Formats: sequence, C-alpha cells, structure tokens
Amino acid sequence: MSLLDVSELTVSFGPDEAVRGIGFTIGPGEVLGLVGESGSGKSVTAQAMLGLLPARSRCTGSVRFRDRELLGLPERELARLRGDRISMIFQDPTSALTPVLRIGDQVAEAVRIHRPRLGARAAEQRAVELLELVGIPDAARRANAFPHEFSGGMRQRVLIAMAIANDPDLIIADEPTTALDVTVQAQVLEVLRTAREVTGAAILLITHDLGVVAGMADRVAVMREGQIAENASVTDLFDAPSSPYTAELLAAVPRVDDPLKIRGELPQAPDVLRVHGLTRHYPLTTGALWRRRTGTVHAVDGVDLTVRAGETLALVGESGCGKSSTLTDILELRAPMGGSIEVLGQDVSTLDSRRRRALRRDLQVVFQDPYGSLDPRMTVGEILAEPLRVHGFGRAHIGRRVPELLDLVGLRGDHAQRFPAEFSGGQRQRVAIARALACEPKLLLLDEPVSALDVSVRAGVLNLLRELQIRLGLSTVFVAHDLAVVRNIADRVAVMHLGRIVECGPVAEVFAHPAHPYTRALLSAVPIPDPVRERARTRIVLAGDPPSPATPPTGCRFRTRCFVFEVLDDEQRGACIRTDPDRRSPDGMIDHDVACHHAETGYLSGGSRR
Amino acid sequence: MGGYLLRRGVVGLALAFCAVFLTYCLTALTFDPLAALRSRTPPVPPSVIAAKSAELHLDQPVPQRFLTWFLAVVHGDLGRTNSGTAIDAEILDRIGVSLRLFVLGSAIGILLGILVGVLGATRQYRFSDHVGTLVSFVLLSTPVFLSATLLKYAAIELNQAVGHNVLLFTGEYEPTVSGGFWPHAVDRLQHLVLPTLSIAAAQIALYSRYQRNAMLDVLGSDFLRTAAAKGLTRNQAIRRHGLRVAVLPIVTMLVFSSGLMIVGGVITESVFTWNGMGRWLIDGIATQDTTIVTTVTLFVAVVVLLCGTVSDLLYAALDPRVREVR
Ligand SMILES: Nc1ncnc2c1ncn2[C@@H]1O[C@H](COP(=O)(O)OP(=O)(O)O)[C@@H](O)[C@H]1O
Ligand code: SF4
Ligand SMILES: [Mg+2]
Repeated sequence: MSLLDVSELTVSFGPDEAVRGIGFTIGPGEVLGLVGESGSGKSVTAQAMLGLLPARSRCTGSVRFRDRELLGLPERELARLRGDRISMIFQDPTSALTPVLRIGDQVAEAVRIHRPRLGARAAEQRAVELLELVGIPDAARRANAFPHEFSGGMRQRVLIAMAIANDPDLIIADEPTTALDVTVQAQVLEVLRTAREVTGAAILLITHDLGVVAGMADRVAVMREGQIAENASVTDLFDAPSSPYTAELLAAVPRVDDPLKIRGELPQAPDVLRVHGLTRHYPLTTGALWRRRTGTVHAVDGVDLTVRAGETLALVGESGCGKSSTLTDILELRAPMGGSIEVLGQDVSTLDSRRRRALRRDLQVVFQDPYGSLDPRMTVGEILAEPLRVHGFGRAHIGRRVPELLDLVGLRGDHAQRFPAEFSGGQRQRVAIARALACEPKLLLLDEPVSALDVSVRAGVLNLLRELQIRLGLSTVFVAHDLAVVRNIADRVAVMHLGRIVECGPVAEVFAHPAHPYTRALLSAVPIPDPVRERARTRIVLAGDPPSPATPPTGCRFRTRCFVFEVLDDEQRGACIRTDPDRRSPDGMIDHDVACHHAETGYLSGGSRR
Repeated sequence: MGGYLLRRGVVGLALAFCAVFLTYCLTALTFDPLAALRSRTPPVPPSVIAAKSAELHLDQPVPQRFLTWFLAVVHGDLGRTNSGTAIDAEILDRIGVSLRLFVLGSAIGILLGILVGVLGATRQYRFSDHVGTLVSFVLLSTPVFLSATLLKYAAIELNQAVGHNVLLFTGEYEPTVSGGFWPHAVDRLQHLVLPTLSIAAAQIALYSRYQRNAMLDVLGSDFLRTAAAKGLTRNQAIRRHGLRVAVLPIVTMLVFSSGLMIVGGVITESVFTWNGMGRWLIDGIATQDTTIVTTVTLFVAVVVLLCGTVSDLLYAALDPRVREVR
C-alpha cells in the first residue's frame, strides 16, 4: 500500500496552470526524487499537497495520504497533519526561520503544537535533543541563540530538526541544499540520511541536482512544464532514460568525473595578469544604529595568481572565501590595499587616468546575475553599442559591430531591437558576454557566469564560452563554486579557502591528484549523477562550519576542519598550528603547488573516510 | 548601552543647539517686535519706543543677544516674552497640554494604525481593504486645518441632533464647571475627544499604510510558511510569528511621524483653542516674539530627539539582529 498517492493533480494561478495533471506514489520509507528545472512546478506540487499555497491558487485532482484525501481538507485538520505526519523543509534556510524568536523556542513549538500536554520544560528538553541529533554542537547553549547567529548550514539543520520533531511518516524536502556550499551540502545530506534512519520516514526529495538524486533516491520523477516526463527507479533512470528530455538533461550536466576536454599543451605565452600578495581587509562593524569597528574581515589575505595569454584560470571556493573580492580588486585597476596587481604587463598602482582608461578597454567583466546586470530600459542594441561609444568608436563601426557581436554569442541580428525583459536568463547572459566582448578585451573576468542558469541553458552558455576561448584566444579568469563546471571550462584551477589560494595547478592534475586536504574534500563533496558510482564512493564529510574570515585560525587556516590534521601526531600538528604554509610544489609535481605542510605524507593518498 | 546613550545624547544636544541657534538668528533678524507699538494711534512717543527697544536688547547685535539668552537658559532662566511675562511661568502648563495631545494621539494612532494595517493586509483586495485604503488616502491628503474644522462642524451637528453639548471644541476645560472629581473628568473628556481625533486621524492613516505593507511582506515570507508547515494554522502563525516581525518597521516610523504630529499639533491647538506649545508658536509669530518661537523650537527638538531614542531602544528590544554585542 502506498503512503502517498497523488493523481491528476492540477494547480492553477488564475489562467496559468503551474502543475498539469500529475500523478505519483510514495511507499512507506521510500525516497522519491522529484527533479526538474526551475519553474517546472516542483515547489508548487509540494506546497499544494500540504495546502500551503496562497489562497488565489486552485488545486484539483487528488492527494491521498494513508487513504485520506488531503485536497479540500479544512485548515484545522490539515494543520494537525502538517509537522506531525507530514513535515516539510524549504530551500532557503536564511529566511525560513522567524528572525526574532530563539532557535530553541522555534523547535520546541514544533513539538508542543502537536502535543499540547507536554510541558514547556519537556518540550525545551526535546528541542535540545533534536538539535543534538542534527549535529548542532553545544546544543543546550545554542538553543538560546537567534537565527542570524547561525550559518546557513546550521539553520538548515535546525529546519530538519523541526521536521523530524514528531517522527513523521513523510518528509518533503524542497531543494534542501540548493542554497548551500558543496561541503555544507554534503553535511546536510548526511543529516537527512540520519533523520531518515531515525524516523523511518519516506522522503519526497525535490531538487534540480541530478547528483543529489543519484545518491539519495530510490525512485525518480522528472518534471517538466508542470507534467511528469518520466518516473522510474533510480538505476533505470540513469542507465536507460526512457524520455528524451531526461536523456537531454543527463547529457547536459557537467560532471566532475567527465573525461577532460583538454585543449592540449598551451604554448608558452606571456602572463596577462600577475597578482602578488593581494590583500583586502574590510572593517567589521557592529551596531545598526551606531556603527563601530570591532574587527577586521580578512577577505583576501595574500593571494598570488598568474594568468597566461590564451588561458582560462578558474578560481573556486566556498561562498565568502574571497573570490569576488579578488575579482573586484583586479577590476578596480588601482593600487590594492596590499600586494601588487599587474595587468598586461603594467603595474596598476603606477597608472595615470589616461592609461587606466585605455586598460579598462582590455579588461572586461561578466557578472553572475543576468537580470541585474542589464539596464531594462535599453534595447540590446543600445546595450552593446554603449561600451563602443564610450571608447570612441564611430557610428559606422558600431553599426557593423553590433550584429557581429550578436552573431558571435549565438543571437540573431534582429534581437538588437528587443529589450532585456524579452529574453530568458541564458539569452541575457549571452548579451552580457557580447557586451563584455564588444571592445575586444584581452582579459575577461567572469564572476559565476552560469550559476544562476538552469542545467540545459548552462550547458549552452558553457559551450559558447569554450568556443570563444578557442576562436578569440581569450584569456579569462573564471570564478565559480561548481567544480564540475570548472573542470569543463578551465585550463588551470586555483582553489581558494578563507582569503588564500591553497592549491593551484592544471585542471587535469588537480582533479586527478588533489594534494590539499581542502581540495580533496571539495571534490569528494560534489555529487556525481550516477547512482552506482555515487553510492560506491567514500566521502570526506568535513566537520563543522568554515571559520569566520574575521577570526581565522592561527597557522594553517584549514586546520579546524582538516581531516589530515586530526590523524597527525603532536609534532606534525605543531607545524599546522604555528605556521601558515606557503604554496610550494611537492616532489614530482610540475606547475602544481599546494599550501600544506603535509602534502607529501601518505595521509592524503590513504586516509579517506566516510 | 550606556555608552551608546551617552554618545547619542551628546550628538542630540549638538543638533538641538543648531536648531535653536538658527531659529533664534533667523527670527531675530526678521522679526520686528516694535511694529505694533509704532503703528498705534495716537502715536507713541519715540522715547517710549526707544525704551522698549532697549528693554528687548534690540540695540545689540544678534549674536550677542543669542549668547545672553543662551547663557540664561543654561542657568535655568528661559527669559521673558516681549510683553514681559516669564517663559518659566507658562511653559510647564503648555507642555502638559501639548504632551497630552501628543501622547494620546500617538498611542491611538499606533494601535489603531497597526490594527487597520494588519486587517487590510490579511484581507488584501477585499472590500474592507479597499475601504481602508481609500479612507487613509483621504485622511492623509486632507490638511489638518480642514479636517479639524470639519470635525468641529460635525460636532456642532451632533450636539444639535442630540439636543445638548456632548462634544466641546473651545479650550481644554470649562472654568465654570463645579462639583467634585467626576464632573471635571467628564468635562475634560468632552473637550479632549475632538482634538485627539483630529491629531490621531492622520497618524492612523499613516501607520496603517506602513503596517499594511510590512504585513504583506511578512505574509509572503518564508518563515511564516515554515510556521504553517510545523502545524500552526494561518492565524496562529500570524499571531505568534508574523506580528512580531511586522511591527518592526513601524518602530522606526515613530521619529518621522513625531515631526508630522507636531505640525498637526500646532494647527489642532489653534483650531480648538488649546493653550499648548503649538498655539504659542502661532502667538509668538503674531507678536514677532523671538523668545517664544525659539523656546517652542527647543521643545520640538527635544521631543523629536527623545522619540528617536525611544524608537531605537524599542527596535533593539524587539529585534535581536540589531542588538549590539557588548
Ligand atoms: N504564488 C504563485 N503565483 C503565481 N504563479 C506561481 C506562484 N508560485 C509559483 N508560480 C508559477 O508556477 C510555476 C512553477 O513554479 P515552481 O513550482 O516554483 O517551480 P520549481 O519549484 O520547479 O522551480 C512557475 O511558472 C511559477 O512562476
Ligand atoms: S597544513 Fe596541516 S592543517 Fe593545513 S591542510 Fe595541511 S595538514 Fe591540514
Ligand atoms: Mg522550487
């Protein structure tokens, strides 16, 4: 007998149908993955089942839970089920908790609302137990904290704690890890597994990440435009997708275990960008009313980078590690707070304003958000003409160049008359790229250019970038947090952690023989969209949160999370605690350097743990 | 916290000083307190005018006059009006009258404003919400002198319809009332209703607009959905989680609305002939009296600054995110 039986479910907002007659079942204890691109109707489906949609939505069809129809149930009775028999976890942990109430009270409320006879003290106690279960360190004390004092990963743990508070039969998790870094995602998925073991609940796991599904789900339903394109067991789906859409999706996902698209040896070329000892500190202030400096955020702390002509260097790391600050400093073309930056052979601290302006033309940037970066009141043609005009090109040249640019990025000439609002995210990102290329820059900076795009669109934009690399011989710095994307586009990769580069080398080298423990953890945390390989992997799950860049640990900044450090003897640990390792090439590594005291020791090759 | 309040106090005093200094100088330069004397018929002898001028120190340069006044204020002497009455003798009564209006008006404005706003948001686009929106826009766009006068006429109609004077609209009390506590209390209340209503109306309208928007934000928020997913009904979720967050923006409004309220107070007091600070300001301008106008400015500055501090403290108490780590 199935636990949940959805059939013919249709949800409409006014005349728009967001979900169109879908059906699926979930058995007791089963994990069903619901995958699809954004806007395909996954979240609407989940919320419709629990009656959480706004009042102006209309649901028809049937949602049966333990043979009881949920659609049309009066609010009181639905509320009695919610959080008790069926609970839900949402995507964005930053806003999912009430900001003005204590964590412990919010968890305790989840318990008490369904067991009013349980006393306040008992509920508090239970809340602390639950927080311990989901891995909140020092739970009894932390229960008194407010949500803003918790990191994103910790808040998601709290939400899981609330979801399992009453031993539910079904947990609906809507993109529970999408807003998190990979290393934190690995932790949270681990907690979700624990939660499942403890409660025996079935899980409806909604995600757009096929890798996550491959590792967690028993069955998978693929959703597209409000309908289910395919529903199959996880092995069947990945082995032999029956719907062409699934096949397309699977082919479009970049994977960390893809064969490398090596461009061959790049010829020795001059450096177009040289960054040495770059430092950027921000003052840390407290008080919303009376700002007062209370510390320093070491956003970038001694970064060394070189980019050779024609090469793509990827800068990867978790959010907040200083990637964007590094880019911004380079873009400024002014003397940095500390260290030196040399663009196309010119030290930027020595530039006068005329030469700086000339250099601006050679250095262009594309940002992550294709919605915010284009002026909505300008046509695409005007957007592309603007940089050309600024740099003094004539009308005739501009008239020729605009269609050329559109063609270059795979758009049509007549797109020039349209406004950004008429384009999809992927097309806008193409416009942004075309604008950056307008003045034929020598160095292109890309700040997470595909992170906001859906899988299938992302593949297209990545292909475009790869093509441009070859056709134009562009030199690029590509900032990303997605290692699979990096593997697909970069020649060299620099791994950044807490304001420092911890490892740098050719993509093939770094991905095949990661030498820094952090790089290994990152690589191991990326889920692979292949159920067999994904489940057979041993995974390094880092303990705890990334340390705050305001109070980095002494010595090696990774040591509080380092799994190698844990197994070292006291003398070896001493080095990690005392000195911040410099980057150096361990024996036998060419053009590949690492900032770890113990990169050569056997620990790295041997000791991987689950 | 102590340090914060101290710094705030110092800056506040500096701001108040600037306001007072500018007001004093501007009025001293433009006012002509002797005009009334000069235009009398039969003409006043020049020696009298000169004597009055000397009495008011009009023969001294403005900065010096300011300094004299200011030093006296620091020593607790607020000076005299042009006609010679001591400011000290009147100010406390007048402050009492104004604050009564101010405090009651704010309290009613905030409470009703929040209520109307929350109801409007939870019933968005229903009939009652449309009515609320319409009424508050009308109230917000009606100048106080008009709405106060209309209130007055409405009261006259009411009194006639009932057949005796229920609502009174001149002064704060009737000197002729005799008897014990109750007759006095009733009399005060009869006088209080209209001015309070006049001053609170715009406040209710303003607060309800803000509260409605803040509440709409909260209604669409993720944390309210989380609360519902935990098993709270919509109303429970709004009561336990939504309201606390939705009133936060209102708290910061307190400062801005205090300014609005004082303007409203000036006109309300004049229309209903209440002898508060607002009416004094009008009197002061009419008699070209620098001391009165500057004194009222000082009072307004202090009230606005106090409101600012109260709103900051309240905000910190309600929102853990801005509580400073000390
Ligand atoms: N509250 C709403 N009002 C109107 N349309 C909505 C609302 N919520 C979602 N939609 C629409 O429903 C469709 C499916 O959305 P959603 O379920 O959030 O997609 P997914 O979760 O798969 O990314 C989208 O076209 C979206 O714009
Ligand atoms: S230096 Fe020590 S702590 Fe740092 S990464 Fe290497 S082993 Fe870990
Ligand atoms: Mg969604």
